Amino acid sequence: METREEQVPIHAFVLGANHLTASVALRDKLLFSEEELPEFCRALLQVPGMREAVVLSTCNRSEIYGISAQPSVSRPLIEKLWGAAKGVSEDEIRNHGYFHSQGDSVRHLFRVIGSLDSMVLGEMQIFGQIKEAYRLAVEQRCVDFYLNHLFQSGIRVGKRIRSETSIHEGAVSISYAAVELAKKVLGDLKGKTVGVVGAGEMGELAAQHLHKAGAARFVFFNRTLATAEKLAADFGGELCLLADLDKRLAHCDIVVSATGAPDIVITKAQVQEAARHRGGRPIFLIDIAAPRDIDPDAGKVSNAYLFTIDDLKNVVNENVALRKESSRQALAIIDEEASRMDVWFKGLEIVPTIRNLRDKYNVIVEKEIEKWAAGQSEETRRQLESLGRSLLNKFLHHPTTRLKLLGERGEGKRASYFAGMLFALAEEEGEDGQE
Amino acid sequence: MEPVLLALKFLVPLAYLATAAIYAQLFFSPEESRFARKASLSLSVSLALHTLLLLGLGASLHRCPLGTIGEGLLFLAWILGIIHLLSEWLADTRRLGLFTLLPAALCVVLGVFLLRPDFALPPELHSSFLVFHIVASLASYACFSMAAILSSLYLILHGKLKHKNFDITFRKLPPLEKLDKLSANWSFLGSATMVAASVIGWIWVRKDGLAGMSWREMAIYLVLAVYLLAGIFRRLFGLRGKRFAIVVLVGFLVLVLTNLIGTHGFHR
Repeated sequence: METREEQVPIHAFVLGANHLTASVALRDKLLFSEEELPEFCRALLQVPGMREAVVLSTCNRSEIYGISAQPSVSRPLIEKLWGAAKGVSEDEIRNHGYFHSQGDSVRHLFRVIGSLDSMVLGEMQIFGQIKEAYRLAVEQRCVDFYLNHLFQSGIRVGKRIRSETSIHEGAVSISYAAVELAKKVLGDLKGKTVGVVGAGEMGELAAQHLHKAGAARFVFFNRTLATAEKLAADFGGELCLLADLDKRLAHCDIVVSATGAPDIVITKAQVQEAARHRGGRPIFLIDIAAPRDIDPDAGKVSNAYLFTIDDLKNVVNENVALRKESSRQALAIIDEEASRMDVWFKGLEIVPTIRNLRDKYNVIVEKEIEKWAAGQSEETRRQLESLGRSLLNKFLHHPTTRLKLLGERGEGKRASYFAGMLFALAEEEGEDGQE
Repeated sequence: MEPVLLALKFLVPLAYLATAAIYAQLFFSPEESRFARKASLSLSVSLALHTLLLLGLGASLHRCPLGTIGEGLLFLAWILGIIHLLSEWLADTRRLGLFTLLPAALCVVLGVFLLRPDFALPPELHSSFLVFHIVASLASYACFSMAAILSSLYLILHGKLKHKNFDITFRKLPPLEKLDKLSANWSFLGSATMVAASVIGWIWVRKDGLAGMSWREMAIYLVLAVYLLAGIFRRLFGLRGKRFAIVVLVGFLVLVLTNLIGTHGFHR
């Protein structure tokens, strides 16, 4: 890996394909497994011009973040390398992917880490996936000065978006909306009893989400026990005949009904009776069947809260709208942080000039110390060295800060030229000693 | 001393109103975290200034500042502020600050307006028992106020759930079960402190040979009766949820009425 000491201009870039540009089939092909990633990451650094690399590979996107001295040269070579590793043609990657450099690549990373580029707006899994990709690249020594700064900034952006906006709040799937509503009524779902009426896929899905949310006990009601046996075994739940619903309904804090029955399965009278036996504790009912399983009037029973699939869809729609609104705030954060990164990148243009300037005067100071310390004691030499360092820092303080400032203002090239003229930075080292 | 006290009389209401405004932003804004630190800081500053005002009043009056309605309201607001702060820490109810601190701010404004620096406490009322009695009474009022606020919020959320109204208030309010439990806890604490206040008052009257409470004044025990019965029915017969919230609000209404019509307390 080349290091930052080399004084050639650097460019950040990202090359990748995601759910917006590539089909599932292509994304699957481009995906790297955990075992493949370290080797591919190291291979990227062998590409001419490449200095640093981070590879992010998830089911919705595969991306290579890199630092290169010549991205236009590196790009086709990386596409070739990637294509060869995954049995995909370079053209396919080029035609179904994207390539952004410098500021655009920074903004892209920030959008990805802020989950603005995700399939589900605001999902926060991507934040952990990027952190993991970065950690892996650091482990493989594929990250140095530039990507380190870029990814640290990206992680900061992700954290800010998470804490300063509501982009990740509210359920955006029907099943999670059901869990969210249940929590709104019952609070913590730990230890709550869930009654699942019907042994279909929908009921199972809802049970899975409620199980994840902490619900402890499950009772599965079905017309025939044999059909629901597997479900009961999977969740460690109890099995009951639908005919026993009257007796057991009062024990359930949450009831999910998803049968294919043509008529009402849970009547208002049954809910009323259950509520009466529950000592004032609320009962949460979700009817996700079509046609409806639970009598709509059951929702009028005191302490019974009934929601249908349409209600859950409304919750999801409201949450999606809220997330979209929050994405504007997230974009403002991204703009702010990306501008900061722009300034940082611009400031880097001047770094070689500053380094040259310091090196040049350091050499002069060292030569002078050598001249004056000859034949002197060790103590005098130390004092001269200290004096030299101190004077060097004081003399170069203002030129250095001014040059940095000009660099951050985007005038790095001009400042480099004038600094070179003024301090004779391009001249031979030998001449400096003669001055 | 006087200029400082005067400044505090202006500053404390302003600080409470500003705090209530910040908590309102925190509740209604989607960027809640932006206001979280500001809200806590503002509440701490308000409480600190409020404490200084109470201490200053005590020093200036040479007695505990609990002798007039204005002083009582100021102390009630101070307890409400402290209770909210404790509740924020213990029960994570920061979002509800608006609903606690807005009434507290109104109490402070009214309290400052009703302050009577020339009021001299009658000699028979110079008793430390009276101070403890009033402190315990006001603490119970504050607890009942908290219970009433939480019960009101319970009814609001209950209505929103029944009518499928998933707006920002719905999103920001804590779960029904939590509101119900917190309301029950504050009702219990209010009942306990009111019993303590009654016992202290009874000892004070006996010790100093004062006249006991008149039948009209005893109306305050209606409040205690409502809350104690609510607690017993909750424990034994599962009085919870909407019905419990309504009973708590009835109890609070009786409390307000008994104080407004002057059957007990500072109006004597």
